[in-house]
Amino acid sequence: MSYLNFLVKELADVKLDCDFWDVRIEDTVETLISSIQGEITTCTASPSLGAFIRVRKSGFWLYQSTTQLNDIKNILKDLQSSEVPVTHKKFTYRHPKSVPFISLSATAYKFSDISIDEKSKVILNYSHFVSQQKNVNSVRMSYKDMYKVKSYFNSVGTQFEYDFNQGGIAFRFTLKEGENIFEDYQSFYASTFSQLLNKYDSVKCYIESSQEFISAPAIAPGKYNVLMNSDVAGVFTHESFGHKSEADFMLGNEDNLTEWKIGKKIASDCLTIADQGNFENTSGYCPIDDEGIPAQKNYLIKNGILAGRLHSVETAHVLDEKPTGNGRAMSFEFEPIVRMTSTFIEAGTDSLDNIIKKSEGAVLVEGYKHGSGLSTFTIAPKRGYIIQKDGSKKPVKLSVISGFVNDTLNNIIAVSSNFELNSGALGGCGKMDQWPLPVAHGGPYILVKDMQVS
Amino acid sequence: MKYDILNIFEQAETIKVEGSTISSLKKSSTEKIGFRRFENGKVFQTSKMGSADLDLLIMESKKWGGLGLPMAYAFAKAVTDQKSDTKNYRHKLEEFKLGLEVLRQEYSQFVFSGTCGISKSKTTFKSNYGVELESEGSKFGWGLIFQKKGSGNAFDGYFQSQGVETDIMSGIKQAMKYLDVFDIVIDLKDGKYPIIMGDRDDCMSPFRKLTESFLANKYHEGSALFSSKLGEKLFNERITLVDEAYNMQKNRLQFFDGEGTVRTSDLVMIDQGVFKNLFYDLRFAGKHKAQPTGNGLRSYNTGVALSSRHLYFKPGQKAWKEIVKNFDRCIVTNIAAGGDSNDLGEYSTPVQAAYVYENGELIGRAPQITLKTSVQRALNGDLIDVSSDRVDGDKCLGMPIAMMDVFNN
Repeated sequence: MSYLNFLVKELADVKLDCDFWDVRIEDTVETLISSIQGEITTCTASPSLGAFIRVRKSGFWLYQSTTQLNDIKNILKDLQSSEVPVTHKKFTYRHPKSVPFISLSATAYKFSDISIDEKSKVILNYSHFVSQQKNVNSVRMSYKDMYKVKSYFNSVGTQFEYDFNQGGIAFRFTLKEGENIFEDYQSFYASTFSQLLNKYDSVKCYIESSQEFISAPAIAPGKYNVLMNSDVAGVFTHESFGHKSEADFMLGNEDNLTEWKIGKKIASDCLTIADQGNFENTSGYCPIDDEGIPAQKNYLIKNGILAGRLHSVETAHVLDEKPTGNGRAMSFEFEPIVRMTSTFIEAGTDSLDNIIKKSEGAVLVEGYKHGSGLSTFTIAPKRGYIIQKDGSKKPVKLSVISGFVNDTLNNIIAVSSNFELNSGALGGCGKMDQWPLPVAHGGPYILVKDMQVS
Repeated sequence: MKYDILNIFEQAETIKVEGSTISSLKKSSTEKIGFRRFENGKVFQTSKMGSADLDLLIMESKKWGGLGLPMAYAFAKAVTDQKSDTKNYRHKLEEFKLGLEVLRQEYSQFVFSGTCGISKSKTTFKSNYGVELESEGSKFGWGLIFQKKGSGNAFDGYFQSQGVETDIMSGIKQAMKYLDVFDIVIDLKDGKYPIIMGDRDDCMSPFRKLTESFLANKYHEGSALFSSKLGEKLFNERITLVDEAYNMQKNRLQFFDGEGTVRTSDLVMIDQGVFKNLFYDLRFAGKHKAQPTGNGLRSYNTGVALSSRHLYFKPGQKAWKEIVKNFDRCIVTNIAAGGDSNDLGEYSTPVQAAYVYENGELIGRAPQITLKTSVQRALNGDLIDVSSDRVDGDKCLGMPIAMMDVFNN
């Protein structure tokens, strides 16, 4: 439901003695369905409606979330009259005004219009289909969808309202032959329910390709060249450099501005990374952020040179740079912090065939279970192969690949010309206490030398 | 018609630190309701944020409950109980501010970011089939990440504490000794070293394939690593692994699970190396003719899922420093994020922050390394001992100390 008119009517005449205030209302319906061995174990839809209210006063933020929309005005006044501590901030906060943004394009095909019975039947049919495949010992299905409308109004007059649909199905299965076990999963993202139907051929094909891992040997731990497919290259981008680009980690640390000076050479020439929030129908869709700053294409690395950072309004002020539309909150219970949207490596010039030819002995990794990004980032791939001299591949079991960010960025030796942007079906990115925030990532295939594989 | 209502009410205040400065205060007051209606052998569920009366919940469960979940099992045993231990922790916010000021003054070469929060919560489980339960408590927790100025890293280390009576200043003093040796990076050659997984969030990670085997559904399907091993001696006799459901001193006050099954006693999963128990909720207890163990957890808006309550290793005889005093190198991890196990139980993780001890004395920081072990080796042949305390000083929990393979990244 649209709440922008409500906000304008309620708040247009509010005048507070403070630097800035804003209110964001989120109206959400989320569905969760899961099954174990063909039996539904979760089946629920959760409607929620609430507001997040911010007041900035004397360099300090005051926040409150509420499910009582009629209290918003009173909460604003209470926050404004709260005592605040003396801060050490030396700048004057100015929040830029953006033009109004209204886009309710997902209304016509929202997930919440599909009955939960229909969704459940689809899950059970898929579960039955998977259980019939060769060597399948157990099947767990997860389904999640969300339709959300965000409405926003702030003290400098910015207002926006937009909606989106996000959903997905994950098939988790265990293959067993004798004592050997291999756990795997496949997932599909969709922005309409119909996109999740009739995936049987793809699922069958995927399970067939899993069979060779049941008795695959474990990899000998050590350093290998690693060829990442676009899904893994995407999560590598997110974990290795995306998090490092979030400017809030530089607050109070002026020395890092020297270390990460715009224009500095920090990566291989073949590497260009960008973040962009306005790709519709992806899980990274954020056309205007939760502070009212429109999305734009933000280059983080261009041809190996540090080109930019991701900002909220506050971090942009502190670092004397421009806001980038990356102030995002997970729900109405949280404040916006600096987050990624769709983060990707731009396509290169090498053909994939050529890269495989020069990858003998390298580990090809396809898909991932999870990743994390700190000084040493890590990715737990779903599948790994050793590439043979003739370009064929032999499956191996592995736990994680990892690397020191600063080294790895310079160790990228090839970037393929194909490109894919991948949306996350069920999970998302975690930062502080905000998880999971939907994001997307992608890229071409990339070949990285000397990564730790174990 | 039978029904139950899980109601979670929480009031919280959190202060946030960015760039060593307190930057915000967040207040929240939330009520979250999970409602289940039982009719014709099925469960129909809905959830709500904010208050709602019974009529509304019944109506919404008809609207959103869908086909319902099959229910071929009995309700939890009828019981009425209530436990409460509320305290006012507001003074902890001031203690935290003082601690932060000490860090700002004495460690200006570092930048600190994090949060300190206090909360009061009440969880009730009410039904019309005889289960009426309520737990109420208050808690605080704090955590700070630190960056060395100019390190270029998003963060270089982390310290935190959560609990009831934790003294924030002593926690900060504990952290200071790590800050003092930050600039001393100890060279480590690839090889085997005694390893202590020092962080509470990471400490069970190498054993995930074992704890996954405790889930009755995975175990009985035969898809868990230790399926069919119940009753067997799997590990060294020093290993006793316990699932604690309720502990007033540690602020684990919720003595019932998401289905209203009460458990206040510990459940021993591994007893002196022998695999003793599985986790059962009502569904899988019914299916496998076992007793529910109070491990059917759910949030207000999810279905029931099997999970541990709080797994910990029973403390051994010696303090950890006593155990490692004869080793010229011992590594205590501070952040080992992103590790995983393969289907054989082989575990590997990068270590983003760790400290090196020489004969039990802290001598410096470890370089960026990767650890490798397996649940079978770490709790058997590579096990050195189980400590009687944790690195953070907690004497109620033990830590398995094992030799693990270390690779420089």
